[in-house]
Amino acid sequence: MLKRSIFIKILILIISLSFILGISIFFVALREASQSLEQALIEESKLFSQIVAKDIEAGYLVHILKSKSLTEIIPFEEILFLWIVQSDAKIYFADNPKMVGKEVKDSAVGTKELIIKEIVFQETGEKIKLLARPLDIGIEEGDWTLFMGVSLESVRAARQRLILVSSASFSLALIFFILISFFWARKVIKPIKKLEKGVMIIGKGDLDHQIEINTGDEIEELGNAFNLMTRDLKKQYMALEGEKNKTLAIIDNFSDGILLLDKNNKILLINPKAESFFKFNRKNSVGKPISEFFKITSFKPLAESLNKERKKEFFRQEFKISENLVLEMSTVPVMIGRERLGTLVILHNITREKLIDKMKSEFVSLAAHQLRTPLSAIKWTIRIILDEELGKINKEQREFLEGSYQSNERMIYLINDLLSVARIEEGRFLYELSLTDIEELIESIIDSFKSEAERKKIKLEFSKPVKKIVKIILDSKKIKMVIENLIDNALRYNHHGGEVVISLKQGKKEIEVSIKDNGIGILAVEQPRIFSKFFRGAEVMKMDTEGNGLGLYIAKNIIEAHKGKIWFESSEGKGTTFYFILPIRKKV
Amino acid sequence: MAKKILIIEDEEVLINVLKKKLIREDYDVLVAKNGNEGLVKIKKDKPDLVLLDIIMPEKGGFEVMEEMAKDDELKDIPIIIISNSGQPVEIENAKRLGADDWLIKTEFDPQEVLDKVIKQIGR
Repeated sequence: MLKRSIFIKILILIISLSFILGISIFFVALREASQSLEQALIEESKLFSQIVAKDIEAGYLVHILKSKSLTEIIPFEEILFLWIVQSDAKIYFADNPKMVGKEVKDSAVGTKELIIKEIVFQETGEKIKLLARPLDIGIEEGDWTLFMGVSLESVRAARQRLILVSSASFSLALIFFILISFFWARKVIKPIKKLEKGVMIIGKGDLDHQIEINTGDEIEELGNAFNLMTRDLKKQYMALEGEKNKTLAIIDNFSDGILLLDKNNKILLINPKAESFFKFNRKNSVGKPISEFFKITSFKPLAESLNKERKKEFFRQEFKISENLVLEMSTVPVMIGRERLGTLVILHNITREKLIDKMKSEFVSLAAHQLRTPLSAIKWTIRIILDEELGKINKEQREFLEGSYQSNERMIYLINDLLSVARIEEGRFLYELSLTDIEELIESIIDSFKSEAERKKIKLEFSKPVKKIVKIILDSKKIKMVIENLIDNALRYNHHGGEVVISLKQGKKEIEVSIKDNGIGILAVEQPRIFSKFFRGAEVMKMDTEGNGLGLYIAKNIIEAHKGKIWFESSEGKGTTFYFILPIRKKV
Repeated sequence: MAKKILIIEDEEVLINVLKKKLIREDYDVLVAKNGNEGLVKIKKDKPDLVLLDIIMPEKGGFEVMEEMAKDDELKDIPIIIISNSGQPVEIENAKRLGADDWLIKTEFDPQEVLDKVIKQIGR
């Protein structure tokens, strides 16, 4: 029940308005009525006093006196007394014989004109009207006065009757009014109530509900507006529902398991894929803490990881649940504004990838072994022949065998590079880090290239820094591969009489190595792809068919794995300089 | 008395090359084609050094080292691994099991193998 319902308000308003109106009309009418009654009485009394005065003046006084009483001539009972007062204020004659001879103490005695005034009648104590009129009877000197007292009792009685009758009819009218107002107010309220009920129904979600109000007034309009609003709401709702269904369809059919957890790690949403991983039922799981569902031991590490407070925004980890199930779990905090709503957990089944990875790495190992076995057999056999352990060989035989030996070496390099690439891609390109003197390392590499440079008539120079370079942490085998590859390229793609300069510099935070040649350079269009796997420049292909396009790819990976950087500057026909920097680190 | 070297290797060509090299240096050379055969010969002949391949049929190089490490009489025999692969993990593992050196076949010439042998046990 409302404290201040419109119904009550309207009712109070109508009643009080009609009450005030009624009361006002009543008082105005009452005043008017009593005034006119009084006026009429006075007029009548005036007329009568005039008649009496005329009679007296005309000499009828004698007649009157004979009757000894004036009572007979008094036409209505409102006249309380009638006195003829001498100029000496003594009553000469009165309707009541007892009054004769008494003195009248009033200013109106001897008046020259008609006086009407209100006085208190001493006998009864009531307020009456006094009429005093001059009498010209010519008997004595001085002015005689006719005094007449008029009672207002009848007026008062009439007024009281009027009040009584009016009050009764007013009360009746009021009751009638109240009743009318009650029904009318109820009539006004009824459609509002209907509207309220309708809105409640709509509010509860029944968007098909129509509010029917046929009052023809503003409330009907309001009802229609509500119906329109409901229709629009329904449209919007349907559109939203459609979107929601689409999203749910995506979530339900997603190939990854999806879990949405609230702040307390209770399950808000779980998709069928996640159910199939955990083997629990969606209906029973929504709303329950995730820990309840991880009683199975194999899920424990995953559950524990979920229950840990995540400092990192994004988290990813692999979990081996069983031989046939490896999951990669990613957790993403779900934020609304700045507030954390919960966590989105994405479970990606990587069992197959893991298996493929394993197979790939097994294949690579096997292939490497299978390929290297005959290559080493060839290498050793040719070597032992070349070393003349099996007897003397002639010059031609030696040349042929040297050629075969070199071809075999290239094959070995190719296999090694392929193996390196495979390991890089597997993320298993392991680094044996140790504190290394890079200057010494470069010197030994340059030594190994000296004969080749001489053969090609290329000047190979090491521009050493004046100050000794600090030892840094690196994988010397891998960095050796990089430097060898860069020097090999600089010699290979150079002209007879060319020059290769290797420089070493120490900066504040890093050591920079550069290998500068004045060879063929790299075509501008090919420069962006120079570090790509298997990429070989067109000019390079014409000049030399031996490279495998893996060297720079491996070099870049090695340098980046050392948290360094590798780049180059090159201009076609003029030469290329490769640079790499390694951070100065003294501890593993 | 000449020093005894046992080659445990499944690749005939490599055996022949090594044999040639070692015999020329006056070593006694014994050959086994797999790990099982190798272990038998190690126990029987007590070689001064073993040249051991890793990937072999029947019993691999790691298993041979494991068994040698368990046997007090054999655990001190020097071992030089000659293998086609050479991952840091493998090398570390081999050193832990008692290998004295690890040579990757494609990266070394037979002469260098011989040098390592000489360095290890002398002529």
